[in-house]
Amino acid sequence: MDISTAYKQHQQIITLQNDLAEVLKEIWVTEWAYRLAFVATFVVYFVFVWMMYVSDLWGFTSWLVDNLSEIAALIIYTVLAVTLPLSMAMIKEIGYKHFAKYRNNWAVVGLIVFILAFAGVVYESISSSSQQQHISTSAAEKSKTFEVITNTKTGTIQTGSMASLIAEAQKQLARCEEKLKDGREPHCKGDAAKLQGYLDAEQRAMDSAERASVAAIEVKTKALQELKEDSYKPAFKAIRDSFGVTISTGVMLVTTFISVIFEISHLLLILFLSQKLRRKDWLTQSIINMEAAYLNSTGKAFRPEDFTDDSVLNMDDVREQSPSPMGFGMPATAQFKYQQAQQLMQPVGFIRTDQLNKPAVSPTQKTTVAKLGTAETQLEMPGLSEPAIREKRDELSTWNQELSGHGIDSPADKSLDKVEDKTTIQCIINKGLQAGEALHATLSKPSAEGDEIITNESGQQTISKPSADGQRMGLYDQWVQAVTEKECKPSVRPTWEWIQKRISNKETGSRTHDRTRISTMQKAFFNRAIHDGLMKKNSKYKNGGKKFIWIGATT
Amino acid sequence: MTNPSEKQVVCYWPDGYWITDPEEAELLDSVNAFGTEHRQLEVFPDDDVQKAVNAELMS
Repeated sequence: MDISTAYKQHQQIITLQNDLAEVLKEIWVTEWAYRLAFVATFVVYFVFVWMMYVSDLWGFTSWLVDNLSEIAALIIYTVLAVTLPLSMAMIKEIGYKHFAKYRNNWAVVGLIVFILAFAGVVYESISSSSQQQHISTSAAEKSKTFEVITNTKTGTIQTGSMASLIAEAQKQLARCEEKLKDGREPHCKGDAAKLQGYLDAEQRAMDSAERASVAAIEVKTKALQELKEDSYKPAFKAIRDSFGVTISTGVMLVTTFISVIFEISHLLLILFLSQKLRRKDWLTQSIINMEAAYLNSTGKAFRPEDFTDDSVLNMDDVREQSPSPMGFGMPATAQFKYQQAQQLMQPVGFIRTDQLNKPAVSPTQKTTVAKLGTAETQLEMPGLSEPAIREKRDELSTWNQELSGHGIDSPADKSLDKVEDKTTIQCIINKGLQAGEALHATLSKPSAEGDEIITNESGQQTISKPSADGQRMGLYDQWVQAVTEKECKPSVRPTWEWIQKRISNKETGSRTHDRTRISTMQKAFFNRAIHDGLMKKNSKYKNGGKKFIWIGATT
Repeated sequence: MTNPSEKQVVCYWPDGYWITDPEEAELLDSVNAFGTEHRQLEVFPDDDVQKAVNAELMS
């Protein structure tokens, strides 16, 4: 073991883990920004859709009172007004998160993002401009000036004297015509002309009054309009005055600009989250690689408290956790084929082979599970830092030299030529020898729990436990027994966990059984139980019910 | 479709239990599921697998 390398790896893992924790926190904040943006998007879309299909939100209550009888339309448009903006906001949210996580063709990303963002800009600008109109109109209508202008009367001036003159002229003309019939008057042209004159004068007066009234209404309307425009925010009026457009155009330009800013901010979340996720993946992978390297260097799993001032590298832990433990010759846990293959490739032994009685290889060589985690065999080594190594430079040696000195065959491994602290090496070798001798003494003795490691013809080692009648029980038989004794429920999840606990609780190798493999075992157990008549499929199975029924005996 | 002339592999244990998936059999043996290691036997698709396994165990 190269302590300085291990120390560097330990510090790098700590740094990477801190960095990862920071990135995870950043991602958490970014996710919250996504959620808030989603809510904001939904509300904006909702206002737009509600306004388009139902009614303006302002004054909605009075509108509702007037339209309560239209139940069908109300229900349909309410459902539409909720589902449409919700689905559109969700699609936008999903799309933006999707592009943050998955790489896509830039053209595709650009097109989809443009469509989503464009829709957002349109909806937001329409909603916000309508809201602006409502705000300014309300402000104008509440002003005193508006009230005064509204109450100004504009009407025609009635000319009562002209009416009486016309009536008098009509009366005179009627008398004249009576006299004309009796021959007392030669003609009535004078009275007729007088009446016509009065009528013409009245018509002219009426025309004049109407024109004056129209002009007054126009002035009043214009005054009200100007008052309303004056109630808009200065930003809108500035755009109107700067570009010579109407106030409505000014409002649209400003609200569109604001909507674009919101959309760009929303879009930036894609970039931010994307980079953070990439960083998180890289850090996670780096930590895995670094921890694997640390495992190789030290023979033990990484722990943050390693290399601290008051901690020690517990070599007993090293032996129990490492798939290729240095110096103890026998794995403390059951191992699978791939782990055994790794172990065979890296045999670093501390047991004097010349002092061991080599047992004959039988098809089922038994070795008791080694319980080596005792005080006698526990080896503690101070966590050496680089300065400490420098101090002991004059007391250095190599593993090969020291192993040879103890008459122990060492494999042709270059790592054993590395220079290490001589005292430490000797200490480890001595402890290893003691442990090896202790292990040898315990060979073939049954353990307290009775678990055994079975070595078969192919050198494979598996766990086995003797049954009451002396026969070895496989894992399946143990499971059946557990179910029979009600220690494990005969359903998928408990069985899955039972198997995992049995085969994985002591594993520390880099290739532990994954969930799929355990699921395969669980299914195989069920198939076997069905075959053995211990279990049957539930023909009345429904969601949430039991898929399988145990028909075997239970205690 | 399985070709009737092609043999298929059957993995069986000394107690007569058998399956047709060698990978699953390897996996089960890796945890000593059935107490012993499986053996393999080739049978035709039309064969009675259980009979073939029993015959193999008796021989």
